[in-house]
Amino acid sequence: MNEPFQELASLNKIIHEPGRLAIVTALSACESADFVFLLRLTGLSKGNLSAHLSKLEEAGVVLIRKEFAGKVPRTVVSLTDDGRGSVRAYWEQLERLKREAGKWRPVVEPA
Amino acid sequence: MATTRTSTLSGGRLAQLTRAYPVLQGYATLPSLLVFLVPLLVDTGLVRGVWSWAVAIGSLFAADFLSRRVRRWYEHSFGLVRPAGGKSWRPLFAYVGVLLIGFAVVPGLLIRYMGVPTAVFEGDVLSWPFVVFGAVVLGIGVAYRPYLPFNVIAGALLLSLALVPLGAWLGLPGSVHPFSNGVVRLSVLAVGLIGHAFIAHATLVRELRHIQRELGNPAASEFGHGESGEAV
Repeated sequence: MNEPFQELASLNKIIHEPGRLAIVTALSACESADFVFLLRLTGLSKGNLSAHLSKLEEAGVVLIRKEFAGKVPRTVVSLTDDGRGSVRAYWEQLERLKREAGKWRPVVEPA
Repeated sequence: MATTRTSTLSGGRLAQLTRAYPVLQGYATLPSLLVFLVPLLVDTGLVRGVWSWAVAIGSLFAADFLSRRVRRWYEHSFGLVRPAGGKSWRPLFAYVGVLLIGFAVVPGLLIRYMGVPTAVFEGDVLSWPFVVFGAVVLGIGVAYRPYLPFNVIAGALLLSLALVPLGAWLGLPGSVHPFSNGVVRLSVLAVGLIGHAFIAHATLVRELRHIQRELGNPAASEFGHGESGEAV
């Protein structure tokens, strides 16, 4: 039975995608960050970052606010409480799977 | 707000960077050079009398204005981040304020224009403001030790130079300390400030690159894999 490996497929897919995982990992270490900071930190292109943020917002993982610094618009992103919980749960699940996968041994059929 | 337990990366490095982020915007401290160069102008006789005050106050405003412009450049180029539990978007302002007070108000205004006694050692004169400034630099270095070891060294060095009777040790005539020479003193501070600015900026760029590489494959980082994805 490949239970730990089967459970890998049940990971939160909204968060599991590498680009989005980078975004939520960055956001989970701070209260909020603006678009430019996330761009710098994740190395994603503007289009990719924007698309990923939209998906995360639709899923209720992040909150996106538009602010103005003088006349310059700024997009500020933060994790929602639910999003923060989802990220925590994601890593806990991944850590548990890592432990279980380490213990797993294939069942050898007798010849 | 507590940080979320995520990867091995975010447990420390990323949260630490967001807290130190404003202090690592090193170039924003460069305009402070203007302020403490004013005493040099007075020393060399280029500025005299009431103009000394005008130049001193003007340099404060100019330094603050330029520092804001540099911070705006950082916001434009590197973005803004609010650390977990942080209340202010701009703690750098406080940091620059400390530097301005350290550089300008104490040594610049009080000593130069009001004749405040500056000796900490009888017979080997040295400005006590340098003790204060050394302590401030050392404090900032200790507070952000992983990123600013240069400040720890510079602060300790400055304190040592300020507190030891260096003049006597070097065999200089009584009451003469190398720092009592305005040009030497200001040059040492200028080199220190420029060093801080460039090292802090380089540290910010290096840390962002490092974290970007880790974030590029956070799951691999969690599972003990290198950047290439091969097991290490």
